[in-house]
Amino acid sequence: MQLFRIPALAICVALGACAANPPPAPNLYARLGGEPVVSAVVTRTIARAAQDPRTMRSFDGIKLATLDASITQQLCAISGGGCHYEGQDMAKAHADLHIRPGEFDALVDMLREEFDAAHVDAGAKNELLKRLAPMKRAIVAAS
Amino acid sequence: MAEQLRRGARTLVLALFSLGGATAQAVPWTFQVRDAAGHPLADAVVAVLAHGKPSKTTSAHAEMGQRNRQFTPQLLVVQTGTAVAFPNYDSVRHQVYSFSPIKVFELKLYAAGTPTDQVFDKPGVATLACNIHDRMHANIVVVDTPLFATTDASGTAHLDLPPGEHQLQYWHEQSKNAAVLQSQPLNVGDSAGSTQLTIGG
Repeated sequence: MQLFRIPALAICVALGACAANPPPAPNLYARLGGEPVVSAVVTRTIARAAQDPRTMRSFDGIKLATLDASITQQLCAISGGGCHYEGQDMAKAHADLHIRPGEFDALVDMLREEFDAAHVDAGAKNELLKRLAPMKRAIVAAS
Repeated sequence: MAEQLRRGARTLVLALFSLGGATAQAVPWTFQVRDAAGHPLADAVVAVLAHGKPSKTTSAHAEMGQRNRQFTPQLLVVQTGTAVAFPNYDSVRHQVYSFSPIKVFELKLYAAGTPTDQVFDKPGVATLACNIHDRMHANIVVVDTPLFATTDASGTAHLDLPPGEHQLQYWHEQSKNAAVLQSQPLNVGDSAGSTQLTIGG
């Protein structure tokens, strides 16, 4: 009988199933699908924005691959993914473009649609958009 | 008495000769550059590697800024050894880089006020771009001489040259091999002269 207890104890410890601590909740970045999903959603959103008549002027002459990487890094940082955002602050980065509210809103719509098309959890998507909302004041030109 | 006069005369002649040599240093030279169709070519670079003139500098400074998402100026000619600063006058950051063999460098996203000097220590042509803004491009032409000029809208440039057998180097963005400087001999006598050049296919 004693011989059986030790292997059971070893298995229990190995599986970590015997402790009462629950596993940590996945951060927002993980809930969004992590780098592969967020990066793909950003790339598709920016590709659309660069061609949509409502938003295209701001992307004229911009190397989209460089921009995509910077935005993905920013979203990773904002959603607790552990990235350090190395890009510029939103006010300085957009100052010379004089972004209109309609342009900002159109881009957010595209971002929302691309998250949905990627079947990202709605709760996670909305949590991210809530965290991005305060950026509007920095990005949209003061009129 | 006659001997003294002769010696005096010889001294005077020698003095005049060297004075004459000094004033003959600056010979005005005109360069006329045209394209293959015969039209005057602006923004062509001419440089004269003159015998006896220093090829490199250790003190010269120049600047190529960024303003309104473009380099300013878009063509910069410097003597080999010049330190070039790249001040950013925009509110957006730029990421300036060059892959040209004479000077490979990258200035990662920087804002106004960041020191950015790069020493261009090899002659040739460097092409610059920005990793974010597609339309930004510029050239820095590096020459082993302080004697250089750029043609104006009439395709003309002027230099004051010492007499002698020199090497002329020239370049234009539209030439068939714009990655390198073209070269040919240039003989400068005692009187003003000119050189006609055709650049471009």
